[in-house]
Amino acid sequence: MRSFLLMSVALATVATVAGAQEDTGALIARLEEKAKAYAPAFPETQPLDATKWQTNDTYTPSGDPRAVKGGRLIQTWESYPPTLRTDGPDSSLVQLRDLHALVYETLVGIDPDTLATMPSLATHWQSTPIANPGGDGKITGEEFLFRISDKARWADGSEVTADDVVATWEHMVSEDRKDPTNPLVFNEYTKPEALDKLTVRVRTKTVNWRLFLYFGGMKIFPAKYIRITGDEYLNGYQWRLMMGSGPYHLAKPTDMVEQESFTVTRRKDWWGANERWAVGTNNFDEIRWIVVRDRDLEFEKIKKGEIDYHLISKAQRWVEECEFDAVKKGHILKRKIFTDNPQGIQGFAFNMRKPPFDDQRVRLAFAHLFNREKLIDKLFFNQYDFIDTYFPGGPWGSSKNPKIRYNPELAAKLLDAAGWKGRDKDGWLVNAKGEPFKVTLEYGQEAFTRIFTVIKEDLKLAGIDLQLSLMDWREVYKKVNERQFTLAFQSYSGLLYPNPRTSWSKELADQPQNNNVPGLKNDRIEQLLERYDSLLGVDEGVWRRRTAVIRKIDEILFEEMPYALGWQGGYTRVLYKNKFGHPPTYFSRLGDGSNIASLWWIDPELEAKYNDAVKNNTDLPRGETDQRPFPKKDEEPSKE
Amino acid sequence: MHGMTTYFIRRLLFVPLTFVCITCLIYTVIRFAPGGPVEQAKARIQMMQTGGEAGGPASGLGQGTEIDPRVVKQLEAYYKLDKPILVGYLIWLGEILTLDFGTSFTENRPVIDVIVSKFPVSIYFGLIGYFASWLVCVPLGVYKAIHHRTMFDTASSILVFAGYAIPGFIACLLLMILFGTHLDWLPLGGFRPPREEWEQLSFVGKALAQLRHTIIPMIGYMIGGFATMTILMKNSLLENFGADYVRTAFAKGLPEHRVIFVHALRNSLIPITAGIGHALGLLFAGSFLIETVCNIPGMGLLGFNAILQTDMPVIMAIAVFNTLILLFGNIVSDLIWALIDPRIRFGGSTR
Repeated sequence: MRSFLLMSVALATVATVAGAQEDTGALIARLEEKAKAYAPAFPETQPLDATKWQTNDTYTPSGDPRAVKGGRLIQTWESYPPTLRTDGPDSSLVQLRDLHALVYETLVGIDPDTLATMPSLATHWQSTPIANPGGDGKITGEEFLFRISDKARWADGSEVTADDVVATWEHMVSEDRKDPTNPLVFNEYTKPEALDKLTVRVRTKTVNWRLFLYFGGMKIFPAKYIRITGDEYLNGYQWRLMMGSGPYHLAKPTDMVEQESFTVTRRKDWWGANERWAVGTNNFDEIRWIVVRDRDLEFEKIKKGEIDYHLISKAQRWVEECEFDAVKKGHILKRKIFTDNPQGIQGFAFNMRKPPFDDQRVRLAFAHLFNREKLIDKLFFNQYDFIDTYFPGGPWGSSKNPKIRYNPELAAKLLDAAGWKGRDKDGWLVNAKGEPFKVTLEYGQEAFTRIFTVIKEDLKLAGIDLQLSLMDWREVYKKVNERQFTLAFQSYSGLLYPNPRTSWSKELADQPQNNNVPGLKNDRIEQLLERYDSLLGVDEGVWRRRTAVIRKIDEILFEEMPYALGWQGGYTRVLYKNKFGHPPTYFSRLGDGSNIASLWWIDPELEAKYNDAVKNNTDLPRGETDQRPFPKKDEEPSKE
Repeated sequence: MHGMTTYFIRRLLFVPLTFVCITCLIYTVIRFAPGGPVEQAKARIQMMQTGGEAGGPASGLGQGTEIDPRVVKQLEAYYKLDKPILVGYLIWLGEILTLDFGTSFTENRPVIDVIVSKFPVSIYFGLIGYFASWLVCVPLGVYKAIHHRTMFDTASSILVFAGYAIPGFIACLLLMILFGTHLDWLPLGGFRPPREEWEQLSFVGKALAQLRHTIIPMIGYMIGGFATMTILMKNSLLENFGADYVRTAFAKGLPEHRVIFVHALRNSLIPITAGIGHALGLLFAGSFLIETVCNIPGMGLLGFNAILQTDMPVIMAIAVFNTLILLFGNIVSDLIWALIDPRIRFGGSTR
């Protein structure tokens, strides 16, 4: 009886497991068969009339023509990605972004100096406003055309066509991919049409200049592989990199060592190798990521030379620990590279929906009590600077914003004007009702305790009782999203193209789960948001007009003071082996550490000197640590 | 004997009920905990940074946007979080009975594959550490008991307790800095050399490489347990030294080494030996701090990351294994006690 029961369980197990899901191998074989049957038909390709199309051949390429192809770059991942997919659940991760940028290409790119559109898969483009057919002249959308390069090829040598763009859009809007954002964004377009093999047309449903960049910046996938069901995509490409048209690919399955490393190899047959925009880029024969879960261990690895570079995020480490032997000898170079990479903001978010921070004077007073000077001096080794704009990095921030600095006397006057007069027996400021000024700050990162403790003491002198409450970050996130907070410390990454509507639209102020955390409602900003979104076009002039609008929004935000802004770096701190060549500017104007993989190369002469110096324990030139290759631009944008 | 059999059968019969209670509780707690995979997806989108390079992807794509509620529902179904808690638990239990542990949210692989890939690492270090502890702590404890209150006893106690005070992962980090970075005698973490290097080594080369990669993590695992086992061995032996049968043995003229190693030591080993059952759980658990610092993909790190990221299938699978090991481990410990010490009898009167 016991044997029979055991056998039954075993058989049930086998049956369940066998029947539960198609074998991945069988699925992939089926997808390959499907791809072989792909045979699109197109109308005859029209010759390109350059007078009707826009292009850009005046940009300055980011790459250095002196670059030498070859070698292997070894860099790190903090964790192995949970999938290799570009879309769907768990795909929006930083490590995947860097990997996919090497394997897939977009229709157009962006010149980091001027923000003008640059060719990529598409050599030419058009952007035409669509007027209301009713005849009132109101613009209701835009029509974009992209002309794909006739040289563009997939990794298997087949042509990139307009149908690939159509299929990619279909993939983006498919809800069966279960992607959190793509359908939301790409449903702003009607279905694209392949006018011929190389020309694709798409129309937008709304007016927003960023829609050109979103569509133009969409990674393009081969129609023969991407036109599949959601289940086929999610299962078939979980651990398989779909073929791309980019400079790198996964050369062999053994280049993927689960939970350990991932290696991509440069394609010798990459179609774009000789294009002007690609000169001096994608120079490494191999790029390998190894998983190093601990940042301290990663630091030890660069000291030992086991990895090629290491980005330093902590000021203390940069100042106190980065003068080890290899750095002193010039074997490892230490560089702080300043660029205009959008930095994002961090700071105290006030809940403007309720007291005490519903009063602008109280918010401004708090900002003047936020002693960033002391933090930067005492805790951050003077490595950081004040954030004086809501759009730091890039050209967006206004220089007219007031410089909010620690000023307890001014703060006291503001608080007094706001009704916080007198102190209770414990020394706390009180309002007209006799209530003490008590604020709870709930936060989720233990590392911030030392920072908030300093702020707490300064606030105490001013009569404000700041109560610190360390919680699980998920609980904090939930409370902030549900607006159950008075004060919160928030940080956001920077955006190349600001999207102020998602943070400052008054329509979002009273809704949960969005980035208008303070609950700002400002009619002037609302008008400027409309204006900003409607500035259509892709030339340099329109970028200047957009910049002017953002700067105006910036100035109004400083009047409203929804945040007490914190500190920023505005640079990338990197330790790297002294064997790399790089552009004179190290990175592009808007670049950061991710440029190392795309713009740097292994200089044979430097490498020989490095190997020799390490072997014989001799010195190499160290060069200057601080690098400011991009002077600030002086020109003012056109007035709005 | 009849009483003992009944006792152990009763213990075994309670295992399923205890298992259900524990796993149901854990499942419920996880379902209530914030920060699941859907919330994490939302958080990533709200804070998301996108590219910014010439030729790179468009930026601002969806940042700050709220996810479409229909997509949220799809994601909840994808992660099997769309059912009520009790229903979800019963479905999970049914799957477990067919040995289907589900798919990890964070690694997107079958959980059993994830555990199978990490389990050997933890077992490897656990077993080596455990046996190494025996090899070091038992002789050391015996020596300390024999030379009680000597300079050696005092000095070794200081060292042992210093080791107890230093967290294992700190010891690993310090050892790596000293022997890995400065002296370059040992590698900086990792279970073994990179695959392409490993495949080119001979058998002896592989053994040596594995040994080099084992030393520092093994010290980290052992350093805390040294004090416990050494002092337990010493105190147990000292207690037996004062027993009547030892005095009788000396009185009968037996040589000292025979009294200590044949008579006293056997009885002194009982508390240590009987703890083998409990040690089974430790072998499986690993240590996430040591594994993080030493870059070893073991069970400790898996469990820690699973909790942080609310990877429910992995958490529940670890709960299943830990619960079963604990329950059976306790029974095994009791059995060993009863076998070793005839004075100990469960479920009936002692002889």
